[in-house]
Amino acid sequence: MRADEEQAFTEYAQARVLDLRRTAYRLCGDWDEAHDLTQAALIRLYRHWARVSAADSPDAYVRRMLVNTFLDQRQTWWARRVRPFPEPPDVPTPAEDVADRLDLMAALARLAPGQRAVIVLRYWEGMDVAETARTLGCSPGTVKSQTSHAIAALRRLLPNYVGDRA
Amino acid sequence: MNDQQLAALLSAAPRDPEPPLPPGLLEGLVPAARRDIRRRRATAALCTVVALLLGTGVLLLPTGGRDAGPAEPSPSAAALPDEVAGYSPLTGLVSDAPPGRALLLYGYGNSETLRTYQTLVLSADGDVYRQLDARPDRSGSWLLAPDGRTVVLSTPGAAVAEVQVVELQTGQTRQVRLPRAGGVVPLALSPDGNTLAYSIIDTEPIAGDLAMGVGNVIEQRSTEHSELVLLDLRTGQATATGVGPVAAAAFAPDGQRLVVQSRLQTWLVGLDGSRQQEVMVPQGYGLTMHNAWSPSGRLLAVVPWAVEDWGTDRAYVRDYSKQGAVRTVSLDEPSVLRGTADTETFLGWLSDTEILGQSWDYGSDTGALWAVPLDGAAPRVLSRFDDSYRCELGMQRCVPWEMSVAAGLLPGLSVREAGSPDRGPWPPRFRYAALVVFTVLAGVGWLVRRRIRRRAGGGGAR
Repeated sequence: MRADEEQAFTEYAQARVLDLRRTAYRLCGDWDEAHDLTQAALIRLYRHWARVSAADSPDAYVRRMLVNTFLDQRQTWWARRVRPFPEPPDVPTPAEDVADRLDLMAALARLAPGQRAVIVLRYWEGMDVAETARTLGCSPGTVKSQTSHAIAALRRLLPNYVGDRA
Repeated sequence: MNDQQLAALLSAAPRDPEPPLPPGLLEGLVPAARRDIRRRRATAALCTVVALLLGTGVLLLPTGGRDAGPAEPSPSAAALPDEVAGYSPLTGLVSDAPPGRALLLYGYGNSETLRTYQTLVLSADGDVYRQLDARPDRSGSWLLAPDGRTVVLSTPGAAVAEVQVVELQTGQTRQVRLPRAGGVVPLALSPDGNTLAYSIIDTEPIAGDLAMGVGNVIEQRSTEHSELVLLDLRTGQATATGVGPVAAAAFAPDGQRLVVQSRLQTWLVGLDGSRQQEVMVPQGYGLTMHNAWSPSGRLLAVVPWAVEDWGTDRAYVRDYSKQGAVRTVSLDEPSVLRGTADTETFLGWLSDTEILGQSWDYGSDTGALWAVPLDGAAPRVLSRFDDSYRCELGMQRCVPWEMSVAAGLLPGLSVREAGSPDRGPWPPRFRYAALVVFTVLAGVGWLVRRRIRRRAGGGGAR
């Protein structure tokens, strides 16, 4: 990579690292793992920087890299056996705000990685179906079906939120 | 819970306080990314080298195929697959991957328009097929030893000064010199495979025919002008018997004497060449070309013989105009025809009551090996040849030619369901071609990948 390209990459990484880390945290639910995911995504970005920097929306590329890194790691043998989170209680008990957040994060942690990514991108990052599909590299129909499955799972995991807490 | 409720729930969730970035995450990013790129390039290069080495090893090493090492002797009874595998140009070579003891030696292929032909051996102990590369493209003038461990090759249509012996256990071929050069027809191998009985003629009178490539001229002339020679294949010592002419011969099961067809007479001959006794088979009959003596030593297989007389010379040949095919006579009472077996080609004895024959199976419309009872009962198919169109680039079916069997393995022969054929490593020319294709594809792939990366990177990628 040329020096000017490397400089542009460094500036982009400095500008976006906090946003990326936040998305990573929403995906994985752990700050340490979010740091690793962010670093891995930025390293991947460095390899493809020449192409990404020429694109209309580098942010979309980078988000896609981040989500793919998250999904790749979740598919490894180690990730399937070692959960970075404590097992959530079967029926979360809604209480204070902090407890609510723990319940929500615990429920998200119990979703399949792909479903969790759909929920985070659509409802936390505010993407529409088409954007989410592009980021995940799948069809809009898949996004819709994954969303439906994820909401059904959350409904089971968070029964006390139904209707009255939103 | 619906979309709106979920979105509201997530947006209303209190945020965790975000911790500071770990020290060095940004500062170490570019060096880490450079290391990652170097590691990936090194891994890709290493994988390429390993793939090339593996590919080269598989393609070039003679022992790269299944069962490529010299096969161990098998004490078990021989078994014949119920289907003989079809033609494949990728069948490996005996010299590359010895098949061990063989049950069949045969030419296989077709040449109506394009010549597609192989000389094959089929193992006696499995579905192992190999090309006999010592005789790749001509048929006949060969013998498979009764124990299936060696093949003796001469050269049809030319005078020779030596014969070739192929050891099927090791794949090695050695030359055994003859006491004198001439037109040689291998007639029989002793039960242990160590002694070759062959006929030899002076080729000078037929030099013109040989020069023009007239077929079977040595075989025909041998029936009237040849001499029987016994050659020890281990020492090269030859015994000129003085017996002649000789058209067919077979060793006794104990290997201590031979039965010889000389014109229209049948003789028992000692290993020293002495004529011991004439066997008075019925007039017009003579020995089958090979393996005439039954395993018990009591019976001989005979077929109709005729003389072709064209004034200046004569030849004694199998008389195909007579029906009834193979008959048997007893050495105790040779003048009486006994069993009868209707088969196109006699190959050997399965027992004193049944022979192995090769005939066309009109039901399946393909060549077949048959067990033919000598009491006139209906023969049964033991094994069929492939009936698909594999020869001449799929235009013709392949047919077997000049089959030679390991006669000593036939008694007790079992038939088993054919398995997947083991053809061994590809022949060298296909291995080299595959290596070239593999290398070219790898190179093209590398160039395409580099071009794509350069195009994607606008020429800026390192």
